[in-house]
Amino acid sequence: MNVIEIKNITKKYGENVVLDNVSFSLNKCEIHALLGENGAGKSTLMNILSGMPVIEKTGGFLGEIFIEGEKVVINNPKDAVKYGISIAKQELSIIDDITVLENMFLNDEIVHKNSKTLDINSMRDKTTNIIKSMKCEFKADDICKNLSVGEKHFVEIGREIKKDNIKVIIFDEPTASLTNDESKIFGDIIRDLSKKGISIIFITHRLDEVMEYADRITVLRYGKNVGTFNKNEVTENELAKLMVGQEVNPIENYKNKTSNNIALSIKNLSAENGNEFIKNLCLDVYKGEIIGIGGMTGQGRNIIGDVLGGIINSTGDIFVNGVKVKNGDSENILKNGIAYVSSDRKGTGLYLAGSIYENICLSAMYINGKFIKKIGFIKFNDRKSMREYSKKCVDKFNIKCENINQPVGELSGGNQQKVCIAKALALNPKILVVSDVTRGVDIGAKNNIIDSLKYICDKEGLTIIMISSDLKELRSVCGRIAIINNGNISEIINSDEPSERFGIAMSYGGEKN
Amino acid sequence: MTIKNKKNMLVSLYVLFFIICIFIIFGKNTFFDFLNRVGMNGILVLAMVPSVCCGAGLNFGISMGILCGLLGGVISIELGFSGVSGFIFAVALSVVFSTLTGIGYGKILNGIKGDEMTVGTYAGFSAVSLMSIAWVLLPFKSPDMVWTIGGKGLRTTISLENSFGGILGIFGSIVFFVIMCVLVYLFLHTKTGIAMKTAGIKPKFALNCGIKPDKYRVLGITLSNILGALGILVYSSGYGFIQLYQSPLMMPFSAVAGILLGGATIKKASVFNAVIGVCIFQLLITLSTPVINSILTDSSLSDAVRMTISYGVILYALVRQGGRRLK
Repeated sequence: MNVIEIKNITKKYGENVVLDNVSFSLNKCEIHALLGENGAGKSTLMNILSGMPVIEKTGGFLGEIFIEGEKVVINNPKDAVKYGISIAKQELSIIDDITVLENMFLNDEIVHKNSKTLDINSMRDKTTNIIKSMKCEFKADDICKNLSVGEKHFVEIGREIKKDNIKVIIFDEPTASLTNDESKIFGDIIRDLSKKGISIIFITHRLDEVMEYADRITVLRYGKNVGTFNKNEVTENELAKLMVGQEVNPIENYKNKTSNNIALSIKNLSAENGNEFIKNLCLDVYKGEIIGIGGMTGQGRNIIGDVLGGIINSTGDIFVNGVKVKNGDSENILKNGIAYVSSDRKGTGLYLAGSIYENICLSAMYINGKFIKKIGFIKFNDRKSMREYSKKCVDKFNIKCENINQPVGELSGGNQQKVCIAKALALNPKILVVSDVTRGVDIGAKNNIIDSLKYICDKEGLTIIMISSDLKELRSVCGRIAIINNGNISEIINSDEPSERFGIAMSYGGEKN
Repeated sequence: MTIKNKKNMLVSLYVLFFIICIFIIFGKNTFFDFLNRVGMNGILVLAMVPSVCCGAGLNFGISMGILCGLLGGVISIELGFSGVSGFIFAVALSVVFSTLTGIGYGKILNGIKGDEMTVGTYAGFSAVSLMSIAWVLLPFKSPDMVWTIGGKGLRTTISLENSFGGILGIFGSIVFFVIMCVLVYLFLHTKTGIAMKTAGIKPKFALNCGIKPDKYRVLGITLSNILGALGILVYSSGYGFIQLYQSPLMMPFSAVAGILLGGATIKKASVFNAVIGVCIFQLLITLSTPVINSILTDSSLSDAVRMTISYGVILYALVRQGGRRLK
């Protein structure tokens, strides 16, 4: 019997039809993937199922929901919990200043029978068990703000899976901010859950995960259900085609020419941030190449980006074309020609309430003295030239927006990322450092971004350092890939070498050299 | 024309309309009283703009700038300057003092990010008290300023009749205010000004752009401090007296209330907010006296109304701020 059956759901936001006559069913114990590009209506469908108030506020929806054969009305999240539907949303709802245990049991505390005081010990036992079952390394009494973003997601997942009467868990883009190895753990968790008799819906746009974890797959496109398949009925390419509605070219292997001129030389670099560290790292990057930096999460991969962008302080030497830059001084680093696109797009990379043109041009105005008109000795900014330049960028990178005055926060993830790259390129850098540039971006925009990176490397002779958790992506773009393990480079491997070498480099090596 | 400009136009028209109304209803005297108050208080309100823009919130520690201004004023009198030269000397001196204290104060505020307004209030209070001791101990000799009995220590109220009292006049002080507004406006559109605004809006983003947030916070607070010093000199000159000891204690609050009334928030303020704010606030205060007096005979009530308005407005603005989360 179907745990959930949805029939002919239509939902409009004003004139905009978000869901158009969608039907969908969920079997017991299955893992059902919901695929679709941004704006396909995945999140709206899940909001309807979990009774989010936003649905009611915007005029409700048409259609019927059946749970285990019974017609139900879900008006608020409480109803959803009553019917055993639980949702882990894409945005974290974790309180930073309290412990993991407190977050997990918030408003659901276990109390002593008689005194009605908190039973901390049994809560701690339960939390420890959940953490162990998720194979995570943090402890029940850790303060949440010290955890990484991925670990926070696991706390949230743990909170959902600990509930007793649960029948269905919905994960909305659970792996969007998880790194590859963390997503693997997530895959194990949902498989365990489905064995226990819980049905899983997970929303994603990562095809490889779908193929790996899901039993059945439903694809949504522009609010319509374009098909439900068993896993072995379809291939990745077919799914991608269904999702986007046009042929997506898989990224073809890209060989780039390398010269012998060293553009960037890193010597004995050490830095520390939270639990991650790098120690005595040395690396030479040749002019005009795209070099990849990969490796498991928590091994120091992300720190390299932050150090090269001057966001965190470091010791050791960084030379750009033979000129030493000041460590931890972003102004000096940018002036020397290293531009950094941070993986923390919304926090560091963009000023969300600001317009597109401000985001693109501010940095270049400050560092390079572009977009400035001088009156006497006073340097005023020149909004007209800023706007002109931004218009060119919008065309060049294919940024979808109403106009350049639109706040960046209103754009989709992929377009925001394009703004980030345009911002870095406005600086006319010699070296571009991009960190997790395609994370949380839909396939169309992803290919777009990768293509523009290749283009600027090829035609404009830029050196690109690409830091990413996605090895497949690195292998399709970069010539050489440096694998980071235990705070150091374990090996630099050419991208056409066999996969085993990468696997070995990720698990061994590091500190010893 | 953008939506923001249209909104600003509309607000300005409303305020202008009300100002004309007073002129018609209450006559010339009240109107000039109003103009005088705007000229006197304008720069103090304007001083809030750089501090909000650089991300330090409303500058409750503006008392420090005010004290620098007062110190500049009394030194100028002590050295025997009078008239325009006295005023200019006082301004020059207080700019030097306020720059130095502003840099120091800015560095302190960099250490306690997020709590600038609370710390600022108490920093201001303690500075006022400290200077209360200094006013007694500093070796001033001028007979215009020291207590007549004993000949030591400065008086609480010093008349500026013989020095720079009233030299700007009503229109002079308004012109001075307008010049300051234009300068601040232009500054906020220079390369440095924009870097400062960016640092204030989102420090992490600024860092990614190569802008060092801490440096620009110090700059903003220093500018605010300098404007506070200039503001108190214009205020004293218009008022005709320099008031020492406890009088600067509560001055930040009316300045803060002023800019909040003009539509500024803790995170966003513009020169326009300052101008509109000072007009509305002084309009309320000017009118509260005749209106209350005609309703109730007890004249001390108008002062209570003034207090209610200024503190109530701060309360309202801070509470409203908490309800709306900015990105």
